[in-house]
Amino acid sequence: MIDSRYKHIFLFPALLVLVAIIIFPLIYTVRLSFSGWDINRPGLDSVGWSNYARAFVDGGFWNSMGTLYQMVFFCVLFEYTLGFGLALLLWKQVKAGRFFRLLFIIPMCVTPVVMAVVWKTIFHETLGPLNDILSWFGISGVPWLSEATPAFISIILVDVWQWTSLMFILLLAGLMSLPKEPYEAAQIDGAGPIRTFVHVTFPLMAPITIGALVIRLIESSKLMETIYAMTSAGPGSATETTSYLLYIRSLREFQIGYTASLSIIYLVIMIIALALFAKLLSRALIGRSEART
Amino acid sequence: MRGARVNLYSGLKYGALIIWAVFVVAPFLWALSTSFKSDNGVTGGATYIPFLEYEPTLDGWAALFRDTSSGGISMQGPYLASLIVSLVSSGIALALGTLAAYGLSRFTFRAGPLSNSDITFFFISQRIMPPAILAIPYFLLLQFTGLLDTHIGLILVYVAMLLPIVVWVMVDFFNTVPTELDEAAMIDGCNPIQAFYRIILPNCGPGLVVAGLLCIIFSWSEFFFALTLSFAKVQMLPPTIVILNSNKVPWWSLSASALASVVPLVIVAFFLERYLSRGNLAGTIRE
Amino acid sequence: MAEVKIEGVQKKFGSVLALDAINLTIHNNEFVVLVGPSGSGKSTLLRIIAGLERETSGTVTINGESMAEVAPKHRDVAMVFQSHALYPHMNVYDNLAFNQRIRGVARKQVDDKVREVAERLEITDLLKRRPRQMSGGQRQRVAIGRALVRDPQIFLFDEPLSNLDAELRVRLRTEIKRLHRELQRTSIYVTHDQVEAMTLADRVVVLRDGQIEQIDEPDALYQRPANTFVAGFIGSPAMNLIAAEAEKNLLRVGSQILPIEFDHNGAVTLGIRPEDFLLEGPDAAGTIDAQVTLIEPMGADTLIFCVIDGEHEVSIRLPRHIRVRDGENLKLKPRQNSLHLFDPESGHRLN
Repeated sequence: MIDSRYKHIFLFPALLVLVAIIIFPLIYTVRLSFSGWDINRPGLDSVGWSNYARAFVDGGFWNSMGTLYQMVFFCVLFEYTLGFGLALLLWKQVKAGRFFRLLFIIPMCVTPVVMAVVWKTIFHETLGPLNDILSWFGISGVPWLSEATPAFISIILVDVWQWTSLMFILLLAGLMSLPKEPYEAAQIDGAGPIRTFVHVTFPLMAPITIGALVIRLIESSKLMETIYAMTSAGPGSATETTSYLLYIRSLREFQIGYTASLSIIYLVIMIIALALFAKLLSRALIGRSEART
Repeated sequence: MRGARVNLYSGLKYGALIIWAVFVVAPFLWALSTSFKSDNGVTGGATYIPFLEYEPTLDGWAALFRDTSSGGISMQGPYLASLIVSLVSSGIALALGTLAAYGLSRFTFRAGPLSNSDITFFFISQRIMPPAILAIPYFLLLQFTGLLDTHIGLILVYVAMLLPIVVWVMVDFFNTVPTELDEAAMIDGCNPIQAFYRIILPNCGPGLVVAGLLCIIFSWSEFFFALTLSFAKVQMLPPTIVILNSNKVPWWSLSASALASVVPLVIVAFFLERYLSRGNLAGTIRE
Repeated sequence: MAEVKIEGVQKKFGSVLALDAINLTIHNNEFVVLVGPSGSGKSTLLRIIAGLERETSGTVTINGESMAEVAPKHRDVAMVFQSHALYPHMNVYDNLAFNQRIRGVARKQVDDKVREVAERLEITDLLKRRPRQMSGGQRQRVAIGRALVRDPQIFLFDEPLSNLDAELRVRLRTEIKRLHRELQRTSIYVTHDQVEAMTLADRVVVLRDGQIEQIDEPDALYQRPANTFVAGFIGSPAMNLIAAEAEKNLLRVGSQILPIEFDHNGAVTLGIRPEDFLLEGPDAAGTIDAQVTLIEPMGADTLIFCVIDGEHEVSIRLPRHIRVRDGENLKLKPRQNSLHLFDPESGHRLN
């Protein structure tokens, strides 16, 4: 189509906003990372690469990355699996299917941090309902928020509660858009439900799986609000993710320059990791099967 | 025997669905129940059923309207602030984002080796940035322009945050609208802008609704920037509620305020489900 | 009322050459049909004339003015799309009126125009309906009506009947022809259906792989195709194309010999239309022997597939009252002046 004189009018307002509000702060952060701005020395000075040098041996920082990766792994794994399962259950006509769909969509629509506050009361060791119910089964006094592993699990649980709905919606939409013919062929060929899933449904869903996983990975890497509300990265730093650490170091401890360098390192690693992941997943799922584009 | 197996299968199916449904609803029910409790309903251990296990009171809910000085929470202020910021930023993001999405869908852009899909990716990749990284620059930027702790400052930041979502939804949507419609409009005498808002936009209902609802959800629930970029004059809902957590506010007012703050979102969820379940959004155009 | 001149037009999509060296002049009030298989570039050419695509090189002029920088809306053309492209959110009346309103025409005039067109196309009772409440044929009529309301100097049609079922196609085809006769406007029509081309056109442009194969009136196209492609494309059932040897005034097909009125030496491709075969008695001279392999009754005629010397397949068309049997040996004689000879390598016409 010609008349491309107009095309800039469409794109530029949004692009401008984005460049102004995302690119410039990013550039500014890079500049900050070379300064030693902290509570004792406010202002934009220059300390060369010393921040980065310090970052490489910063145990807390790398720990938080490790914690982050572990959390993200489990969260996304459970959310994807459960989401897919729910989508499969509600795929064909089900009685009260719409009721369930509506119910299941609610968690992802409500404010995560507010629900985390509610969950905190649920996880309360002595007054909360969770331990109370567990005690009926003979399991007593799980130290949900005061010990490392249970705290870790509690965060994952809340995240799964919240975001399985997103995977559910995306995967359900994907399932409903699948063509019927392969299924009819499989039926004629005599394939049972499991075989149909493995050889027809899953391969056909490959592009959507990748999309959903990438979306969720990007979002969950920012994991911070739930932790803020429930554990404050505790006990100790057992549930400290990088996002949370960056928040504390920059806005609480005011190590602005140093945290800027941590931010840049984090960003670079994240972008590379995500790009790699997307590419690998793409090759694994689409390369092998005849999934449609 | 087939009949029995089918029954077992669908029994398991419904069982699973019900278990998950219970899991989904549990926190809400707990918060609801707790919001009617008072001291004895909490300090003695977990209680569930009103009248049976504890005496319900309206203290929790009344506190929402009381002033903070008398131990209340006073939610009207934060409610209003969240409403204004959400709606305005969603509206602006929808306008700018839809424009950009249409441009990306219909025209070819080239900037060196980068082209349309790269630009779309650029928009969407903004979501990778953890708010924590942007906090400092935004803080300084808003402080410099005097927009710290104002509605406008937050709106600006939220618009940038929402643009990727709008672009993502609408580019997908526009790509399924056949270009013949635009072409017919241009042959009929429209320039591209007229074609956009007279012909294409009126047929975008479903896409706009979904994008708009998603915007409202994200901006209403936004916590981090609301926390760091506003404190006194502007108070948004999420930080208000989280701060209660550490203020020795009793569980019943906490639960009540949590529920009150998410009620609009449940309504939005209802509409979102309605529009998403209309299936192929652009199907209505393809006749 | 417009003359369109296309000179040296070439169109590339990336590295794909869609149109090459297109030279074509469309005269005032002429109904020109661009026909060809899919991928031949016919739609691309139409869209370039409309201004929806820009030519990579070459010029398009309308009434002597170059259209190089002119947007579609300033070219005074109207287009009927294959998928009707009606505005889904408006009813028929608004769809028809839209292009007038955009130009600021007075309401009364718009109303007059819309109602006049609606009456002409017999869609007056559909005026309040939305596109999704109408059938395919009705929608396409509204699409044509939209173009009529525009009253442009050039009508453009992009395969408008391809999405309709056979019966509807015939009916609308007739309406389009009738409209052209009444309105006498320059019209350019794209189709892949050679029957539409032959029935509607004043002149036909045959396109293949982005190049013009032949431009001619339908009759001339039918009786003197310029190459084997056009010969095989125009006419249904298709012309028979047989490999043969020419020696002076004789043609050798397998072991059979035919006298011809053309002096040539060398291999040729012989073209004969199925209806140009006459069935002769067993003693006739100047005939070819063929054995019947398949008989297809088509109602008014019968299509008979035969084979010459067990090698060359031909199809012949005989009136239905002539009965033949499977395996029967027939003596076929081509009608006077019905032989087409083509060069076997280039496909170009020899005689």
